[in-house]
Order: sequence, then structure tokens, then C-alpha cells
Amino acid sequence: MSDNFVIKAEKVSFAYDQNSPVLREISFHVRAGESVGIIGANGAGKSTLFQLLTGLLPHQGDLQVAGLPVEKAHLAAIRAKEGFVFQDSENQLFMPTVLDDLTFGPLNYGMSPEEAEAAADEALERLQIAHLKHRQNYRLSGGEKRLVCLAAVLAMKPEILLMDEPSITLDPVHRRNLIEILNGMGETKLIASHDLDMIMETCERVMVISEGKICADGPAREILQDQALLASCHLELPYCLQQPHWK
Amino acid sequence: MNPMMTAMRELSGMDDLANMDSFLHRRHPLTKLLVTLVYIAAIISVPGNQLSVLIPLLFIPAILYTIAGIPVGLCFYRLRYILPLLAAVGIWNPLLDRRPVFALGGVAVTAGMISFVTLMLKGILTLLMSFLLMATTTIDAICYAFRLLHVPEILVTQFMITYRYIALMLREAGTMTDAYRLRAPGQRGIHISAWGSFLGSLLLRSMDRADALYGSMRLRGFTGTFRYARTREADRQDVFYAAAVIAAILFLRCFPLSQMIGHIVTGR
Repeated sequence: MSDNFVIKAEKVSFAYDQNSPVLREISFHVRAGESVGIIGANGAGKSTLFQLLTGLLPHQGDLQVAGLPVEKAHLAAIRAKEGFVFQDSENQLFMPTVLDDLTFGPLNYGMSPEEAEAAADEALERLQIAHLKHRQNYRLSGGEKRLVCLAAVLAMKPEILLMDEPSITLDPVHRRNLIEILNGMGETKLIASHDLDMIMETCERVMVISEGKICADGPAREILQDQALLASCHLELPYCLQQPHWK
Repeated sequence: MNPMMTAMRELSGMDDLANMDSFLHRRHPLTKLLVTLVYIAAIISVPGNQLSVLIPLLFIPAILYTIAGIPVGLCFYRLRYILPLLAAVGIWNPLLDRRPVFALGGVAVTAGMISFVTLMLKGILTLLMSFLLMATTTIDAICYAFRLLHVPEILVTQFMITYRYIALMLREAGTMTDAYRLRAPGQRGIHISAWGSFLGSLLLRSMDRADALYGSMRLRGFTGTFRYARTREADRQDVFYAAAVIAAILFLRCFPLSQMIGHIVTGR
């Protein structure tokens, strides 16, 4: 692609029913290798946007991922390049063991069992959770499930990572570890989160979604310091930029 | 503990058992499936009044459970809800068929009693071998073996997804029951007035979750075909195991071993 855009959205809309659109004619472009934070109040449409980008929900308007229009004929090719970490880990893990879950995607994309296991091992090592390899998903803690979800996506070696609240349920150490891992990754990343401190540390660009529209899109350091803008979208400054207020 | 969560733990306990290591666990899933199918066919083929033919067939699960290191009691515990149903099926036989067959210590043993015990034993042996298969083979491996037997893919996929969704529904039901109990202290179970909304919510939540899970599967390239990671060719030990056990089953089924031993012991 000459313009190097991996995601192009032009006037993209989505509504569960005609009277209450979730996203209204939003337009944005994402370049390869960019880290984009997507923030907004509850119900703003962040998760819905990810579902549109993966073709899980139908959309109106022009939406392209990796140079391909998001439509049925191209979904397999698009999904091979995307990795989507769901907001709720329980919705993502469905195989009996961690290894089974991690090899599920690679096997479906044609890797041999040996290659799939090697990809799984690599993803587990990358997230420093190799000790979970043979554990049952059912027995994992919330934080461990979160990391396994991320590993399951990384095992597919995606070019574009879509992460919906990746730091939710993680303890401070694993959260810090996740931030460092995200910063060390060269893939294009779209991170939707209420954890604005994490967005500040991992994304150079931020899009603010409010009432189904993108109300701001620009450098993270500008947007995340704009108290008036954030307040108008039912958000607050990141904790690290707030004055401490002890009780 | 919440009974749903107990059921969930028992279900996941099957995966724990299947991931143990023993001679039987290491066998190729197809050989274990074939042995189970042949054994069940042998059991089913025994006529309803031939208890003596069934008794020698008890040796097969007894030996295999020992080899696998799985306590038989665990099977009976896990199947505690099914056994009464099994008893209920044949409970009328002793009442309906009172023809005396022989006397035991002065008590007449009727044909109905024999057919009842035979039916119970057939059910128990069938369950024992099915449980052994599940306790020594992961669900993926069983499905893989079904595919090797050319069972239609759509059926195998349905079987696997149903197994996964049972776990999912149990988890949802467990969470909802916990939430209900916390807001209805001192109440036993769920009040009848809440059953409708409880079941409705459970259905909707399960559908939502199932939809999200299916979305997750599609995003990782699932197109209706499960790929099996842990596959391998059957080796000599697998072939030997299957041949030996199937031969033993056929021998015990076809030769009246109980009668032969009876003749030797009694000299008649």
C-alpha cells in the first residue's frame, strides 16, 4: 500500500436498531506500526468498533483492513492478519487447556501441529507465562486468563492487534509487564481501554469516541492532558496527571 | 459449593483424568474407541436372561481400570445420577415376570429378577467402559478417533461444541445461582416464582456467550472443521493392545466360561 494505511474507515456506521445508532459515520486511518488508544465512556462504541473491524458485525460505509474491504469474501484473509483480544476472557477461551487454545488459531491457518506448538511456546515465553502451558483454562485466575487470551492471539502472529481492555483484571506487576510487552511490539495496535495511564504509556495517538462519533483524534500527549475535552466525554485525566487527593 | 460449580468441577475433572499418564492413556485414541465399541456391542448382544455370560466380561473393565490407575469407585460416584435411572428401567421386571428359575437357599429366584440384574449389569458395564474411554482420552482425541472412523464431520463438530457449551452453560448457571443466593439469604434453592425469569436469563446469557465464543473461534480461522494438534500414527503397542483386548472380549463373550468353570467345580 502506497499510503501505508492498514485500516481505513470512511463514514462507517453501525446500529443494532435504526433508532439508536452505536457508531455514526466515523472516519479514521491507521498507519502500519501505529499504536492507537481508543477511549470513551461506557457504551461509547469502542468494542463495537473492534467487532466491525473484524467483520463480526456488519457495517455501513467504507471499511478496509490490510488493503481489503471488510466483507464476507475477504474475512478469512483479514482475520488471518488481525488478532482480537476480547474484553471478557471467558468469551475467548473455549478449549480445555492453554496449549489447546493457543494452537487452535495456528492450526486453522494451516500450521502443522509442531509449528503450532512452537508458535504457542513463543507466545507464552513472550508473555512470561510458559508455566501455564498445560494448565486447564477453567482453573486459571482472571489475570492468567487475560494473559492467555493475549498469548492465543500472539500465537497467530497477527500484523494488527485489537485489544479491548487488555489490562482489566491484571495485577500491577502483570499490568506493568503487559505495558512493556506492548511497547516492545512492532505490530499495529488498537487498544480500547478505560486505563488511561496505560494508554498514555503505550499509545502515541488517541481517538476519543463519544455518542457514536470520534470527537477527538490526535497525539496522546495532547488529548490525555485536555481536561475539558475529557470531561465533555465523561472521562477524567489519567491518574498520574491528577493531583493526589488523600482522604 | 454451588451444585452447578460442583458439576463444572466434575466435568473439568474428566479432563484432568484424561491428561494423566499410564499405558492406557498413551494408547492411540482410535484403539481405545474401538475397544470400547466392541465391548459395548458384546454387552448389548447378550440376551436379557443370560447373566452368566455377562459375569466374565467384568474382568475387562476391572483389568483396564487397574492399568489406567483410575479408581472404579470414582466412576460410580460420577455416575451416581444415572444409576438410579438405570434401576428404574428394570425395576418392574421382578414384579411382572415371576416364573421361578431356580431356588437359592430356599428362596425362589425368578426370571424377572435375573433379567433385572442382567439389565443393571449391562448398563453398569457399558457405563464403566464409556467412562474409562473418557477418563483416559481427551474429548479432542475422541473426536479425532471418530473422524478416523469416518463419522461425518458435522456430527463430530456438534459433539465437540456441545461438550464445550455444556461447560459454558453450567458456568453461567453457577454464576446466576450465586448471584441469586446472595440476594435471597436463608432460601433453599431458587423460588418457583423466579424459575421463568431465571431460565429465560440463562438462555439469553448462554446464547450471548455462545455467540461471542463462536465469534472468537471464527476470528481464529475456524470454518467448521476442528484441527487436532496432538495426533500421531498408531504404533505396534497400540495394535497389540487393541488386538489383545478385542480378542479377550470376543473369547469371554463367545465361550460360556461361567458354565465351563461351573462344570469343572461341580464335576457335572
